[in-house]
Amino acid sequence: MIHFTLKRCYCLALLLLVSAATLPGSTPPVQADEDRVIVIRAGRVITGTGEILEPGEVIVEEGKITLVGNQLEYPSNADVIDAGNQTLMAGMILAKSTYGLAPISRNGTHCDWSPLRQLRESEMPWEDFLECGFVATTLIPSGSGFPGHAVVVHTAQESSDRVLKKAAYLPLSGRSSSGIYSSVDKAFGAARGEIEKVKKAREKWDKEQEEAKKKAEEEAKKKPDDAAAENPEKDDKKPEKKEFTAPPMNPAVLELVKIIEEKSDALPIVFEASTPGLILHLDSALSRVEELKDRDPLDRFVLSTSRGVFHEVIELLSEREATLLMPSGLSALPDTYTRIHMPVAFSRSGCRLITLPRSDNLAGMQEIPGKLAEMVRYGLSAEKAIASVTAEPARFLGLEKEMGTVEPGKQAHFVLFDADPLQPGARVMKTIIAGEVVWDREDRR
Amino acid sequence: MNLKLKSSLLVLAVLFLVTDIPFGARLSLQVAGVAEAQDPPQRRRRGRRPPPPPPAPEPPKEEIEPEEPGGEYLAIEGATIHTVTGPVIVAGTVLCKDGKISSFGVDVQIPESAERIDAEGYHVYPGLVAFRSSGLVGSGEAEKTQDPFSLGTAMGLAAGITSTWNGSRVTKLIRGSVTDLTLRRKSFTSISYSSRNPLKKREFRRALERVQEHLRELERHQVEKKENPDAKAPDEKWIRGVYSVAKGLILGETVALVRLSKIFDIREMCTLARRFGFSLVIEGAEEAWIDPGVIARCGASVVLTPRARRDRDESRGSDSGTSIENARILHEYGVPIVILPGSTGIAMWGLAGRDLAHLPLEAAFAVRGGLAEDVAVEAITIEPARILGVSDRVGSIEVGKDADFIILDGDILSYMTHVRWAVIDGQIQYDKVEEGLLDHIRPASEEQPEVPDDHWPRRLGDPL
Repeated sequence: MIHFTLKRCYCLALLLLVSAATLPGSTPPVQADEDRVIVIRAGRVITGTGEILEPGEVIVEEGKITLVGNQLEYPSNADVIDAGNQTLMAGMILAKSTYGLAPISRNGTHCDWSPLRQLRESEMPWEDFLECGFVATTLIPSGSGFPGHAVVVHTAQESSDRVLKKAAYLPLSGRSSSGIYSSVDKAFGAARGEIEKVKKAREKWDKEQEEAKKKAEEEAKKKPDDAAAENPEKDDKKPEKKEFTAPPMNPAVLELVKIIEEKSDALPIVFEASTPGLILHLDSALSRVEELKDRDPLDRFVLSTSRGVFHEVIELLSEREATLLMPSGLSALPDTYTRIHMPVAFSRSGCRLITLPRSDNLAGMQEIPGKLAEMVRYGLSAEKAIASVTAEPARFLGLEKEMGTVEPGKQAHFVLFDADPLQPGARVMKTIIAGEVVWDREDRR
Repeated sequence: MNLKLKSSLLVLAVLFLVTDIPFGARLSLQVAGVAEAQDPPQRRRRGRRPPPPPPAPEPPKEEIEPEEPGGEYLAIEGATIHTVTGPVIVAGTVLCKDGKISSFGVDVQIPESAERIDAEGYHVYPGLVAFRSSGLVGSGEAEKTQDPFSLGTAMGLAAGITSTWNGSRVTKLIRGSVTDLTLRRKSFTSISYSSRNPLKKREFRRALERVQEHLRELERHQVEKKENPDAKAPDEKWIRGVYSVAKGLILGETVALVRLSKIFDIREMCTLARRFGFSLVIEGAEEAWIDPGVIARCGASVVLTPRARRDRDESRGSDSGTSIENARILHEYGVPIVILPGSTGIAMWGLAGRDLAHLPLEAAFAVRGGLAEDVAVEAITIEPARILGVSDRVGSIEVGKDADFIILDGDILSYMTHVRWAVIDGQIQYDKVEEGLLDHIRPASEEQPEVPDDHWPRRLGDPL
């Protein structure tokens, strides 16, 4: 009993302490002081544009980078974050993840489903993302077919406006090759049905309008003398009153309708392939869809493994200059002991590479710097390795104007390592979102 | 009959008048056309007529212009060509155009744009047809299920197989593509008929009898209907399940595929096939050598495994058990035979040589039992193609057929022989040197292969 009350007291005290600590500093990063200038000084700045400053300074105003350079001038009242010998680079971006989401799996076509509905703010392991240097993550729904759309969010602990991009892409996955055909056929068949529905409604409406017009004309002919002045007015009013209102489309296929109609805001499809053969099957399935027959083949893929069997599609994907999201790792060519590093092989053949963690959890994210170093060891340049977790995912998600590199004008999302990030044992020291330190290793001691 | 003869004579006479080709020349031309069509030999069948044979292939073009632009050519030069349905040509050339065999022989003009393969010393055979397989191609509609980078397909090609039946369709072993894999749909009516289940046997027999009675009634009804339009048609509602199977067989809509091994089961089934006039393919048929005549009389084909063994049943007074001469005896009685190994997959375990990776070796065992070599080769090429209804496209080297063939480093029935290249639709699908599966065995490039000093596979390089 005593033990119990003691524990309770302890809890209460802790709670008080925590609230006392958070209350004064609870300003979310976006509501930063307008005049506030933050200067971050680091031993090295990897800008991501091919430049490395040693040492370097970054000036941040209103959450945005205004200057990057060396021995810059800044107002004396600026907040200076002196990171000593640490290395600063653009915050890392996860291009696909379900980590922390409620495990809901949906099959079929639900393009309107947002994974934000699976997100419980209080249960999200934001700290895990921050600890590994990720400033943004892309949440995707799970399931086969078109289970929903991807949402880009930033990973700060508390935030009132978390969403960076409401809809980034449409993930498509098929467990078996025949499943791909049926999902694609069904989804685009449904979209076609919606288009037909609107078309028919339109035709019906046009017909009705014409009939009404004829009727009005006939009536006008019948009584030409009645009130000649009033009739034209009525005729003019009628079409104005009744504007054609399209019947509402099924929201689950609205995104696919946009793809068929080649709208500029149509989301790209990103196909997840567990074997290289599925890519051929997807091409074949899409070419069977009447409306998509003459389009360029799909060029965005998630490869769920880095197995050597994917070497079969290197040529195919490099011809398309495809963007590949894949976990990094060394593997062997099928049925041999010949080593091949698939992500490096793809990148060197001209594909755009985005590195994903091998497992969608903390451990997977923690090993990312090591995996980048491994890629450099197997023949990728250090810039491309780092770009595969910063600039490339930003470009892929359509956020290249806001993040991905350390350049003036972009959001001040950074990660600081205690050494070169490709050095073995390099640790994330600070994670900065919009100029605010949202995670600091010093605080964890 | 007389009238027909007269009318055909008239047609010929008109032709003779219109064209000024000598009569004899036209006749010989016609004969050549018949020989090239290569229909399966007509076997004597009793009962109802079998379903019409697959459409004859388009007559090959009489004159091939090698200089014709726009075609994709592949030429295999200097090889011994085993056409299977025709002669063996020594130091000949096979020319393919756009996936079809456009000409072959000793002096073939090769267009300049052709891709050439120097195959001097090699043997060209038509691609082997595996009557049944699992794991070589996708199941069902392979265009939707095939893994285009499957190892099974590569292993099948390495065994010389270029097309196979996957249970519902005849499919080609094409890699790296998921289009145009299927040759045709083909399904058999699979029947289980075994002395282990006498009830089922009786059920099947009764169904055949009842359906035949029903069909006769239907014929009577047709006659009756002419006189009395109100005549009631016989009820058809009960024709379901085993009855609809029986109906399909009797009407010749489907072919029965039955696994039989005991001679009395074979006798019973063949008697049924004769009595009700349905087409039959027997799988197994281990004891068929005891009474080959019964199979020959009902026009059935046999899919057999020459290496299969079954002990003699000492309790029976008559012959029983397997014989390695099975294939030879059946062939002598005119039964079309197809050879298939005991396992229809390609296995990386168990005893080597009993799976589809060694289809020609299985045929070689039939030769060991007395079968002529050319018949053994037919039993893994044109015969399965005929039973599967694809003999108009694959199974032999003929002008106009699909360019599906294998180029071997020796006689196909030799245990030493490996597939060097496998060509499907005029495209090289398998190259022993590039594939890396078997290239370490007697490499073509080296006269004296270097002997490895340990068990480490040489192609994998230095283990350290």
